[in-house]
Amino acid sequence: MSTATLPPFAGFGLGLRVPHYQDVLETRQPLDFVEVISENFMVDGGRPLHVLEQVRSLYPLALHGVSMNIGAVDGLDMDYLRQLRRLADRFDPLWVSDHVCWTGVDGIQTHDLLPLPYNEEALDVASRNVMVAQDVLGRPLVLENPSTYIEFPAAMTEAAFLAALCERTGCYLLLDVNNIVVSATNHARRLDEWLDQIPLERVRQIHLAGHSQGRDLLVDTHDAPVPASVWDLYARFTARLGPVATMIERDDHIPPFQELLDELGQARAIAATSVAAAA
Amino acid sequence: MNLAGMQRQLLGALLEYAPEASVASAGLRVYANNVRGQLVEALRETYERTERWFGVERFTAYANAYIEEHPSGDWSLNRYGADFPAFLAGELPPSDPGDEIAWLDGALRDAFYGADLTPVALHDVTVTDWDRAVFRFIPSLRVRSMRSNAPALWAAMNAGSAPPEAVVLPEPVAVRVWRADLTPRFTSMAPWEAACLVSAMSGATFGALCMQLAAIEPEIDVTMRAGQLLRAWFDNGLLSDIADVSDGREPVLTR
Repeated sequence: MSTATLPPFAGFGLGLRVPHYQDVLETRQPLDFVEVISENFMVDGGRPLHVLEQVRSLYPLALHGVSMNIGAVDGLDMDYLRQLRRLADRFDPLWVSDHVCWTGVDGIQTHDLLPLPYNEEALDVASRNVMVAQDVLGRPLVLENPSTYIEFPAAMTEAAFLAALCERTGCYLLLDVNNIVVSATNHARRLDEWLDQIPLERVRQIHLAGHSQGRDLLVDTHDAPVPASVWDLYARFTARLGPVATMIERDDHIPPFQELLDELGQARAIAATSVAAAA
Repeated sequence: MNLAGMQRQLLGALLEYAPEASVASAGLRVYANNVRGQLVEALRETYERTERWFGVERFTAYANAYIEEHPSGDWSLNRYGADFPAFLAGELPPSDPGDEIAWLDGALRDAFYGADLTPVALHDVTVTDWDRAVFRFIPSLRVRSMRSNAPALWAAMNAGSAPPEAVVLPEPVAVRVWRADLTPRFTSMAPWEAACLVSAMSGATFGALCMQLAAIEPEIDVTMRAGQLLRAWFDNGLLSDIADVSDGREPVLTR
């Protein structure tokens, strides 16, 4: 297990997307941090890195990846990790995060967050990969629960799997509350599993987002305002976690910047109320 | 089944998924649509003007056909579809400039993400032996010969105006793409500039370029043409360095 620690950081931020670059650069917005998709900046040069330099000069930054492939049976892509390390060294992020999933095998990439079976073999593979990633990156990883639409026969719950991964590797957690609601609904799981089994002391960040009702399943579209079911679970988590870095993540149907700030204001109010009530 | 077997089985199901004939589970349908959708969207983002040229329906059909033959092997979606223009060239008749519009889209995208490098400025260099001088170009520079008026079509669609009629040119025209500061650019070149640029990118000395100019246009003053050539390359920021032909590491300039 890695002995590196990640100091807690509490605040409210947004996932920064291209339509809002101007909003965050022209005016110092009431944001405690912004999060960007790492891969969008793992490029040789040009405007994206130039913009990120400007953003970083104004706001604390979190790097959030989608391609690490932490469940890869054939090991991690070392070129990817080295490029991510260079990005992290250059921009000094609060933390580097990715997902507990697999994205490809045998050299083929799906560019999607595919589900792992929550069993000992997958835990071994993911743990080995997390340790390699943390070694190359020189910092602990923060890992997020994905939305899932297929469930495999499992020896443990997803929350217990994440807890074991933290225990074995020293990694931290990014709880996507929307993804919990989506996965729990799709697989008829109890939300209390999450509240009871997640190691709260390892949680460093929360994502809030919206989803869509598909024909048979809830689909994690991240293209809608945060719904009541996600706000409710967020309140329950913050009552137990206390102040925690919280972020609105919108990936599609990007609204005007002020709408996201208003939604973030709602997160601030809910967290303040639930933390105060729990005190 | 072990983890590797499970992953290979699911990957196979995702790659073979056919929405019109599928009896897949609801979950598999979501993942399959995500996987295909990500790749189509990556092509759409890179080949934005190509999509305008074809229209959404035709572009999507080409994108899907390309994806069927080209699964992604790279963690970077930015790099997916690098040979989409070549794929289109194999699908289209020569009268359709879609592949050349796509080449422009792709080259401009590459330039957008290309390595940062400050070009050398004319006033910063003193070359001691021009005859032996060879040129190093910025990494974003790309050159291609076009059979059509794709540059004019691309520019019109980029500006949101109606594109002119597509035509096959009497003679091919060379185009260069590069990045000036942070902005990707392209321009068509006169035959003499195109010929010299291709030679210079292959390592020809300035002396050899002058001889090439004299051969292309015997009636034109070589000194004047050579001056135009250098001014265009310096003014557009195409040059990263000038070196001596005998040893690339030995500079023949001072800054």
